[in-house]
Amino acid sequence: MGWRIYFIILSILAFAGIIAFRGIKLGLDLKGGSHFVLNVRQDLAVKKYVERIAGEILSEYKKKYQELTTYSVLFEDTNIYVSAPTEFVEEIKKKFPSFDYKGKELHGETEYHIFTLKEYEKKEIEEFAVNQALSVIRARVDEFGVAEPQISKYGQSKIVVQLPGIQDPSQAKRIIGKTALLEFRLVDDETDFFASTVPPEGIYKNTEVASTKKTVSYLWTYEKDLNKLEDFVKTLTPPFGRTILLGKGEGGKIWRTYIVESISEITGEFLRDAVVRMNSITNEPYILITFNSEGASRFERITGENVGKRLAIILDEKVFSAPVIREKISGGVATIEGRFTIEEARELASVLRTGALPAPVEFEEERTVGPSLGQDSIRKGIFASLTGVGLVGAFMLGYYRISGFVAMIGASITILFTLAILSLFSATLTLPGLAGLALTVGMTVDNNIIIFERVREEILRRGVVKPSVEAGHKLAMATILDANITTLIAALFIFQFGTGPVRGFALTLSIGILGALYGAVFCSKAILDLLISRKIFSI
Amino acid sequence: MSEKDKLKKKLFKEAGKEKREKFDEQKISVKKENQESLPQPGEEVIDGKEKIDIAVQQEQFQKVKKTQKAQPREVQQLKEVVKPTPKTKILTPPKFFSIFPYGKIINFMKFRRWAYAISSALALFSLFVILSGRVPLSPDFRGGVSAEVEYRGDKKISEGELRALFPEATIQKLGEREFLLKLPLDFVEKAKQEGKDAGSVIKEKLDQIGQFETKRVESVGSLIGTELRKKGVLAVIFSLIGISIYILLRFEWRFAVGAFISLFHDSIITLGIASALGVEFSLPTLAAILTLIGYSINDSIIIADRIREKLRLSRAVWTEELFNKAISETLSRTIITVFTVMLPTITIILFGTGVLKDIGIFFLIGLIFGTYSSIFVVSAMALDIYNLTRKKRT
Repeated sequence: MGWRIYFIILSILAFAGIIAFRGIKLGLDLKGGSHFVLNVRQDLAVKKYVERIAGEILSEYKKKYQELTTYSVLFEDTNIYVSAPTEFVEEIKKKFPSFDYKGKELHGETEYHIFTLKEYEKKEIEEFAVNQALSVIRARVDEFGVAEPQISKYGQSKIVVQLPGIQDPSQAKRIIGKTALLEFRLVDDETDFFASTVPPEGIYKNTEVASTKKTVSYLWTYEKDLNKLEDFVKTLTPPFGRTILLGKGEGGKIWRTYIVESISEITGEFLRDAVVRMNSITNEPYILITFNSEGASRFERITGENVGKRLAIILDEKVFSAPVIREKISGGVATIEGRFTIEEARELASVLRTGALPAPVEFEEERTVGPSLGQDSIRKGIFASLTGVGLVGAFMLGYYRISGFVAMIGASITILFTLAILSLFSATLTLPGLAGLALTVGMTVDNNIIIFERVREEILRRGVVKPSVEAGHKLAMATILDANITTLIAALFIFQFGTGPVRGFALTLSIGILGALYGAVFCSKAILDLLISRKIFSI
Repeated sequence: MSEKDKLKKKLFKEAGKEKREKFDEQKISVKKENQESLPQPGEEVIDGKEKIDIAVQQEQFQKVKKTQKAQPREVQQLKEVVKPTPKTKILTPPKFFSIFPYGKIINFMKFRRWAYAISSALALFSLFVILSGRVPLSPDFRGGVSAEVEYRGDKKISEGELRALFPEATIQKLGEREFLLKLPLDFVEKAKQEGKDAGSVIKEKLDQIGQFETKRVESVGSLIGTELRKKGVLAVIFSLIGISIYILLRFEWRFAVGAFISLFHDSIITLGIASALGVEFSLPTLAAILTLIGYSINDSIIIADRIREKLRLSRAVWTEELFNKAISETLSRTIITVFTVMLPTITIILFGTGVLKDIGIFFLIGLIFGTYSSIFVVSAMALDIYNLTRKKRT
């Protein structure tokens, strides 16, 4: 036997070994699991940044002039409008280098100095938002505990999350998608903003005696009319430096308005830990949060300065609770209560621990396959593919007899090769990939058919086997290369544009085409030569 | 190994050495080689063909020799490729069972005007289907949700109950307790605005009427839908161009033009007919079309290769006869190669589910038209373009 036969046997053993030891990773459509594409709202990250800078300018202004002329600082898109003396404007220019000064503009009677966020700063914020979101989501998925998750950046603003084998995608989505921006803001109990508001139908007005002993009004509605309340609140213009937020009212059955300061005193970034505890009296879970040292000192200062006022605990723009500050709280520990179930409390604690997403994310794409469907598809897919391959084998045997048998050995080596390479690169076998594999068998034997038909022609012409086989292979080679390269070109384009399962298909197909050159051309020829030398031949 | 085998091995080795030495092709005549390889009475033969009368075989060889004499250049060419071999005792089977008889020639080119008419009609029909927006787009390209849910409770659940929950949906009953929900893009966008996702909204709603298991959810928002649509069209166009460029480099430019038109024709007709049959156009079926673009060109390559070979071997010119001969000679391999790919395609359609089935249907339609077009579009176009350009020159 020639070296080629030994080489082929060795290669078969190697392929089988790779498959046996590394295994073949099944795609989500075969194993079950979820594939999400999240879009990070970079625009909102930028907006938040501009808002924060505007807030800082405003507090500088407050510090310097001790008074607040209404609408002295405004912002819109990436612009901040400041109406102030020139010396103050000069100061801002120095203090906030991330903004360009764009000159003055007259709006009504007031002259505004315009500051615009620099383009590269904007890009940087956008990029930071995605990268930060990526690491936060990674941390959350780790907390969630999924085997072999895949989390990666995709395009400019998107993140792909793959969670194989998860049972409950809705829980995963809740945890991954929550912005979890925790804020502490002071409640404004001084101004009775809703005093003259006439609420539309379905929304009610009530009054409460605030901690300042003043009577203030608030709006409320039942859970089912929450949308109405949200829409109505959007039409109102809150006092300067204040924001209207909604939160669950007493008893947890209604939603009500809170008027809070626009700028938060402390945010979740100062958190060190969050754990779930049980309230021994009410037997309800609550979350115990611990601040880091800076957070603790801020918390101490704020609670000290504002005894008697209410401090709203806000998560993602919803007020969880607004307890009255009874005394200065030192030690850096606070609690969040909010009528959670134990499950909700756990989820919340875990997202607080991993930190807030820098900007909200949206679920742009979801592909979930339940585990039962995965099993079903794999069974049917394998059956369909095997039947197809079996029929091809039967045909080849019937039509080309011994050569046909050799061609099927070649095809089997091709399949082994494809699976081994997939396994080596830890690529996944998807459902379309399975179809690709069955088609590969069809295409692999095509190479043999082109060769065999040529061999037959040569045999008819010259009447001898060996030279005809040689000539058939040599003459058919160019055709085979051309045919395979064109298919490869198409497969590369599929890979280029596709995502997930489709990429798996293209990959399987490409590897299959390369494998066919080894299996169907090299191996088949070697085996044929061996058989011919043993005088076993028919075509 | 027996003595005889060892001897044989030695003989083959020597033959290999001889091969490596420069072989002067001029000195060996065609006649001599043929005589050498003629089977002698009493020699070993294999494959159970011993009983065949040697005389019959010799007669066949005379025939073969005649055809070879008619094409001396081709024989020379072959002899370059095939180095001299020792006397081989293995006898060829004299006859093959073949799908298409060897030596028979069909006048394909005669029908090409008809083929143009049929192709144009089908392409126009398909273009109409595509441009009038009748392609059933899957959520991949238009955005929206497609969800398979199974009822797990004890009550009976009717389509009506689901319809009441999702007034905007199209609902299809898949099994006793299984339903397929299809929701428009608005549903996804609305969920996004509420800070939720479509999958969860569906689950929440279903929980209102009973226990459901979500077997499969595919939800695509407007961002991804638009992106995939753009990328898909680009992928098709680029692979058409890529393959045509390859053909241009390897073959005549006329074949490249023919190939480009035929691939365009194949993909459009496949999409058109599949749409008319109501098969959804999705990412996987787009992948099927792209694979097809790469695959259906293979038959064209086989034919083009043969035409190129004929043009090189004899001082032949582009004629209908040449094309007919090339197509007829390669016809059985065209048929068989397509057939072997068609077998798994058909089993995938019969036994596969969901996406697999769709891929199969697209592939089957494409295979049929790909084969048809490799004869009647690529070759015919190449010939007609040749005729056109030649007339202009003279």
